[in-house]
Amino acid sequence: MDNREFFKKQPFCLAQSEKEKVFLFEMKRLVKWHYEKCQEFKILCDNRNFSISGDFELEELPYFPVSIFKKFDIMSVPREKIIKILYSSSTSGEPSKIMIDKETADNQSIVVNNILSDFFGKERMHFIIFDNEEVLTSSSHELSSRGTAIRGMISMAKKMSFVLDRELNLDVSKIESIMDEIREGDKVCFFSFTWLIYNIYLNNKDNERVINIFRKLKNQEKNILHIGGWKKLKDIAVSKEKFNENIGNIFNVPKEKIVDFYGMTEQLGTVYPDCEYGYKHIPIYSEIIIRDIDTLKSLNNNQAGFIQFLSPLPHSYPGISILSDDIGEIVGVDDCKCGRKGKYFLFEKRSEKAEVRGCGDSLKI
Amino acid sequence: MWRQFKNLRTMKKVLFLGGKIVDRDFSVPDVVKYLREQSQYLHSLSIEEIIDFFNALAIYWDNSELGKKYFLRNLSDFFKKDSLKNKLTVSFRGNYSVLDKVVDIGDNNLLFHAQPRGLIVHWLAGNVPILGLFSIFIALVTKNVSLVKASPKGYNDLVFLLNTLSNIKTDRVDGKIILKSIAVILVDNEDRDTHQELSLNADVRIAWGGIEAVNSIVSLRKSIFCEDVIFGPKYSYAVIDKESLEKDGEKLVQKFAIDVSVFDQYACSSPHTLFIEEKEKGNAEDFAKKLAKQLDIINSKLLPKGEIDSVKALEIVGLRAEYEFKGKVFSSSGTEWTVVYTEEKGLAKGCFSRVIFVKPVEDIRQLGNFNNRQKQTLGVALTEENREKYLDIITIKGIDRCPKFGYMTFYESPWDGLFLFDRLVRWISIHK
Repeated sequence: MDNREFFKKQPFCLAQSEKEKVFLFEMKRLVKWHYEKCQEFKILCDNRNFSISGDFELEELPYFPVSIFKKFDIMSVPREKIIKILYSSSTSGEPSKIMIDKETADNQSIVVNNILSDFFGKERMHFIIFDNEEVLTSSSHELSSRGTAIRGMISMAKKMSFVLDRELNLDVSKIESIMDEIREGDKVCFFSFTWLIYNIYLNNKDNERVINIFRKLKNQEKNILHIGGWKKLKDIAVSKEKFNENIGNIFNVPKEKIVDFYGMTEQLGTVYPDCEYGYKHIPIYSEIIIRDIDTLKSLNNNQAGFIQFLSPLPHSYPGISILSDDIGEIVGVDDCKCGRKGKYFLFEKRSEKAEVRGCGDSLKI
Repeated sequence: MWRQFKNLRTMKKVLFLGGKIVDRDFSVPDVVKYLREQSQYLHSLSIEEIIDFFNALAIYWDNSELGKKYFLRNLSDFFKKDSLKNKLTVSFRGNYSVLDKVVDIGDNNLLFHAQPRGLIVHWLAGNVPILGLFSIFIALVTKNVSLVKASPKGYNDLVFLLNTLSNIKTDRVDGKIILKSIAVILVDNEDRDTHQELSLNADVRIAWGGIEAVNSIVSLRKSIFCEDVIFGPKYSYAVIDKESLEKDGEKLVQKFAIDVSVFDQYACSSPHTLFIEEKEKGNAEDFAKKLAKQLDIINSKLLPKGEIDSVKALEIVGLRAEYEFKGKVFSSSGTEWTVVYTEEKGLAKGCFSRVIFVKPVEDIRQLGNFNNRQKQTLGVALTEENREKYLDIITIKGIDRCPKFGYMTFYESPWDGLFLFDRLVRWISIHK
């Protein structure tokens, strides 16, 4: 089966009502595929009395919680078709393991390129990566997840330059020489994990040499793309506004060109950068449902709950309907001032534990 | 009425002192001095007068709106006259007047008198604040004064319930005065200096809580004459033999569903795994299905589930997904309750929040292998013959209680393997 034509469509061109028709059609094809090819997905559907042959609403489609990919190697294709395994970043133990075949990888590449082109234009950029190049070849899960995110940018890059040493400190000499190469009119994108670029800021905010390096970039179009969320920044309690102000100042990039970028390894390809009004947009390749934390029922716009993502992109694993760990809310549909059609949403936070530990808090059994 | 301290955030406060609800800073020496002064009044009361007072309190609760609160029934029943007399009799070697005077309890050479130990410092857990009332009331019954470090979660309910004692006045006991023997405070967990002061002043330290809380309390310095009573952390589970399943299956489902639902399974006595001895294959799975129905009824009619945080909700959703492949899952459409049927061996890790694992077991004696001092309650639905046959061997390494279904989370004396009444007194022996 090949649904590549669908993934070649422009990401935000259809109004929600139009999008739903094509999206549901593609989803039904993929639901059938995974039901027939993946035992775990079949069990999930059967246990919910979900019939793949009938007409269904997206809200009725069963979902896997992301944690299931930490516990099982779930595939919808024979293992020999798997060309790579993606690992999610994990601050709490086991990472997710996502099995990717060529078709899924190709679709991911098309989709991420379409979405990012919509935000940053089709012209390729010089990516200054705030990481160490070894991250691309490391077999450690944590590094591998960063490498996966960086590799996702390749289709957008004219050139990639890594500017951190192995200890993840800024290699000042290296960044100096890279900056000297950049010509007027070049398009530059600083790319990093959110916590990592903020560490660089904290370690260099009073370093005049570093500040002056970035001051040299005057007439170039510059963006900062950061990914990976705010969890690791929680201890220093920096707000998004303060983050943008600090990062913008040191790297000499206007605040409106700093883009927080949300995505899940479990549904790689469909990425959600902030638009200039601070919202994340659902492209035609995916759909969002917000679910109540207690009842798990879908919520209306402007009500916060678990974010469920649906997408017909995953072919080699049944990640077409996933309940994420994250809390967010849908803000509106088709009417964002940025002009993009479809639903748009706010990512609020990772899930948080408020549980009280008492005498029932048992030790290992 | 349950939320007097909604905006209270700073965490070194006294919430209850001098028989009144207050809200102010405090010094440990001042509070300790004040409480010790109150012990005279307690000492002037006879045990019968104290029993009458608690009986009046239990009746007051039963006749008020509080009587409808399921979790108060256990407390109320425990402190009614007949029950309390019975518990005291068992705890004090057959004659609880030993609390008032020197008595003969049967020793050939000695007479006995039980004196209060003095100041009991209680560190309460947030999971089940009501359980802390047992240790506070038992301290009063044994004529001790109490300094209670409440949990930041649940202190409202605790203070509210304590304050109801001020509505009770019997012939000899005035609730307003007896309440002066209790102070309730809030202290940050990080405020080690204050905790240290509390500990050094304690004649008995009672710690309810999880492993981190209990470890940090026992690591505080204390008087060499101070007694420690540790409640928690514990794990509980249950078992049904095939005879009981066949004879009482329907009733057992109803009762066990209550055990799972009370306190949303956060009590140390709440069950997390149920083992079923099957007469024929499929019995345990059938029970799991029936239990699911009953949990649904209880959630909608008797004990609605409390709110949970998003991490717990995800844990429940994740666990359900996992066991769809490794067993069978019967659950509410939301996160309210979950029954997992699995043939995996051993005890299931407690998920809490009304998640119960049902497993078939071939030989009930195997349960003995799961037990150690960390296992507290084993709910039992066993015939008399099987109790005789199994309970001794099963409880050699652990398990402190074997209640019937429906009573697993009910506080009893003894608790966690000890008679608290007895631990709060000093025994004086006098030659005949």
